[in-house]
Amino acid sequence: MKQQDYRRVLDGVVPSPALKGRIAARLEEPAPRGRPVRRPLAWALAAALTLACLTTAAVAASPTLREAVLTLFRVEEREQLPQVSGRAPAEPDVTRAEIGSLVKAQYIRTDGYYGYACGLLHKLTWDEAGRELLEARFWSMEDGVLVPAEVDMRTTQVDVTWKGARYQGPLYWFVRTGELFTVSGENRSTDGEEETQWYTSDIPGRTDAVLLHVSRGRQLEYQEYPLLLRLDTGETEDILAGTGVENLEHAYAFTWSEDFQRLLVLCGEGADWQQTWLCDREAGTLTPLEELAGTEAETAVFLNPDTLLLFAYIRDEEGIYEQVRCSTLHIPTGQVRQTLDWTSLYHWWDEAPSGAMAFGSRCVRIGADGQTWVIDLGTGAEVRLENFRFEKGADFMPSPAGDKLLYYSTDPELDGLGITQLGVVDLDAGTFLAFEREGFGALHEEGIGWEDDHCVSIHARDEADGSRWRITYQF
Amino acid sequence: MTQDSARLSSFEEKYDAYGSSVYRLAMVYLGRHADAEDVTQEAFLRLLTRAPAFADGEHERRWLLQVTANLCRDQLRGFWRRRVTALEEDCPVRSREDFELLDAVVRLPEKYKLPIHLHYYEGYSVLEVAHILDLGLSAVKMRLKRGRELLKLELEGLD
Repeated sequence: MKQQDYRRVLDGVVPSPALKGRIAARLEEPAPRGRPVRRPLAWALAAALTLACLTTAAVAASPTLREAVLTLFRVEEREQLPQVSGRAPAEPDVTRAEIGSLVKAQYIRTDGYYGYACGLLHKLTWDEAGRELLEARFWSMEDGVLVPAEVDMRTTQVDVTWKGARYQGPLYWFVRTGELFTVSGENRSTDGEEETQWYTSDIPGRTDAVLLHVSRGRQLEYQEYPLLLRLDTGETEDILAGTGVENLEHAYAFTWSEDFQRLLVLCGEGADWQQTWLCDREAGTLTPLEELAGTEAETAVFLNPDTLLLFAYIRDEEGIYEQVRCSTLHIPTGQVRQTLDWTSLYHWWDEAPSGAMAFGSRCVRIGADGQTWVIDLGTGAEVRLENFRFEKGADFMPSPAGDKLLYYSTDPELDGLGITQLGVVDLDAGTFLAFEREGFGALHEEGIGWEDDHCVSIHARDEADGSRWRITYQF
Repeated sequence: MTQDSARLSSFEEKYDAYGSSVYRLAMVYLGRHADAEDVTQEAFLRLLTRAPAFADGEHERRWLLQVTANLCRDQLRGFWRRRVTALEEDCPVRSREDFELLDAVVRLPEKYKLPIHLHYYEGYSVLEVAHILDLGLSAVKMRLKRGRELLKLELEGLD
């Protein structure tokens, strides 16, 4: 790459002409009156909420941490990734391995992107517009071999109007072994004055209906509203009608309690105004969070249907979160109990990062010397990870149920993730197992995460032959 | 001139001066047009509502870039994003070759791409980059060296 090419390309990267007008319009808007100034970053809040949503559903089921010390067991055997090259196979190809007889690994090599849901590997082919599903192929794993699987794919036509905008398109779904699979294509429309879009999300324990989220606007003007969509008929129901949620302005994110009776609604219009409301569907009440919990609480998640976990923050002058404090709020009695006193937050970009990473009901606290504790934010109980030192470049990620933590460290010299070490802290079983990896340098590792509560996966691509890899681990 | 119109006029002047620089930095960091515009909007709103007194225009520009870098870092805290940053396919560049060049920059690890951009595009000295990113001199030099290697950047004797 030549420096003049870099400059030439970057010279052409300019904001859209409309941006200046949009910012000017924001300046002319009157400041909201009587509303507390909340977090300055809508996206940071949304990100935090995303994490919260990922863990909230099962937070109630998370076990209380039982042991004060949890010792890392390092698997002596290193993982050796299969060294395969050449054209990607037309059908997904799988090989298996065991790492130290403790971790089961699967290496699935494909010629393109394949998804995974309901215990099935799948490949979906869409029409040019990305709206209509042309072909869906599924495979199940049987004795280490991928076998084509049949599913009873159904289609429900979404057709609903919200605030004058019409939302349409097909939703594809099936139920397999009690699990609901749903998928939809491109649902964004820019035909009207505003961009509109819809998507669906699962309702815990239900396979006959989903939440249909209809939205309008984009970025800081984005707002959405959830409706219940019955899969067999395509009928929708406004399950929040009469609660007051339907009249909230700039509502853009919703977190539900496990029993679906209560929800937290996040409202905001960008930098200077964010507000969280608690809606009780049964009681038909809608209350600002600060009325329940005091003005310090900025965000919350459900610890269980009757209890909220509250987060308060101290920020620096640029709005970066510096410290966090957590409390529980018992909704029926209003009783508040602090579970974590002011603690510095972990900033991964620091030269020698330390501090707390909070996700859902758990918090990992890194000491200045790399000592690490896992904290149950519901009770305040701490578990020290023994025989372990956290190092820069490493990270933790909670499982969907919140009872396990994925641990991984990365090679900063590689373009991709370059995962050098992988492990799982099982808070329920009281185990922490990790192993070293080798032979990943040829792959550009793009992502790592939980497939479900028992399986971790890494997604990668081989830039030499264009094949893609999905590597799964069961600890 | 009313207070509001003076504020608007001040914004327009500052946006014309720094808007593209702020947006480019956010694009290099985030790789997504909509996100980069979001950060640009937020950075300017902060400039007009919470900025300290500046010694001169250059001081103001540096402050803006510093705020932009911090806003980008905060946004990348979002779950998978910070690990899988790539340029969105519909990024408005002139050719596939240009796309791949910009994509290579966006795909650089965060710690390398900001020093690279600020030094080789914006023209800041190593010392100035260190100040903007709140890093030590040796850290900036190391990151520029490693970033150059990763990008296979051929220089014009500016280093």
